[in-house]
Amino acid sequence: MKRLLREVLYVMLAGIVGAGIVHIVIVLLIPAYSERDAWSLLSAAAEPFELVALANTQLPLAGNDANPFLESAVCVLDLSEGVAELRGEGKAPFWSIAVYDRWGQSVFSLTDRTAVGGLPHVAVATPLQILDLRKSMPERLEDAVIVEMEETRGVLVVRAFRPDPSYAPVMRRFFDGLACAPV
Amino acid sequence: MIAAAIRIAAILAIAILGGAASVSLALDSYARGEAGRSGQWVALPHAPGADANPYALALAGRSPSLPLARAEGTVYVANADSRGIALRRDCSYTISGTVPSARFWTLHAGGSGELVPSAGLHSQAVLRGDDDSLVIDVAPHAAPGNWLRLTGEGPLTLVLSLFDTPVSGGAEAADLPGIERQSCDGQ
Repeated sequence: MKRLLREVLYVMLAGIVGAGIVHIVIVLLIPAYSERDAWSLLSAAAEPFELVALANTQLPLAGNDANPFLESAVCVLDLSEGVAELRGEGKAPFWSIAVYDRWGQSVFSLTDRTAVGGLPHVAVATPLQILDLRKSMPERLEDAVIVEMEETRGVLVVRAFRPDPSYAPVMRRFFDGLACAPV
Repeated sequence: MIAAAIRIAAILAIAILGGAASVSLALDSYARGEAGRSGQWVALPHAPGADANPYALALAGRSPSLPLARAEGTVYVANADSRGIALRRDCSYTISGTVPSARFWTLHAGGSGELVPSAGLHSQAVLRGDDDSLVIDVAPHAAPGNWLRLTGEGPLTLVLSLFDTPVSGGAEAADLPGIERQSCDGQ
């Protein structure tokens, strides 16, 4: 009886230690093997540098993505094609830009309050590309906010506040005026 | 021989099942967010930043959403009223108090699990009392003053999104409004 108890205790202890190891391994491997993350779903739904309304993608809208006052557009980035540039010509009561890398990590974000002239103009580049930019900055990027991203793959999201349906024309002008392309 | 095999099998079973289950529990609890100091509002996690811990990255890896970055804003959700009773779409509630400082905020109703776009209110279209306090009626029937319309049946999630705000979801968010249940249809 006592021997059985010791056996059971030993198995449980070893199992718990094993569970700890399995736990750590799973947590560390999830990002690499998951196909349900935002980047995987978005890059399957859109070409790199194609601006798509977030509501039109396969992303199950959750949390703030389903906010009736926010309209959002996403642009899948592939920096192997060059430095990514997002620029806009329209205005909105509020807009924000967020850049996520391939793992969903937030690389950079910005709102219209801190933008020059209230217009969005952001360039995303790898560290190597930034060195090149420092040597000679293309004229078109001179007033852009330069964002460094170590990954070559990522997602850029533009969100705008639409106080009510009467702002539909303002939203159209804002989103139609956005361009996301490699430089 | 057989005893050793059984022992190893048992250890592996505990390790694999226990490990997987504990990861699931840990991530679900992380996803539900941290409670702000007042009442039932819980801050949803922001997108993981440069200092992200492995759990935040794992959560980002398995949930297909693009949470707000810290500079964009902070989202609070409530699934229960101030007494801790689950919110329902066929009941009437009164939200009263103050909202933490932000350039603007929105309040909308979602369903259970997936949030379905529904009626909403925002800070630029809301009536306030003399002391800047707020009273919002959340109900299926029309109400005078600030009214958030509820439709359908089932569990209700209230989503309060603050934009361009210094508040990032920690304990300093003491200014969240209370949610009082008034009545429920059919009861």
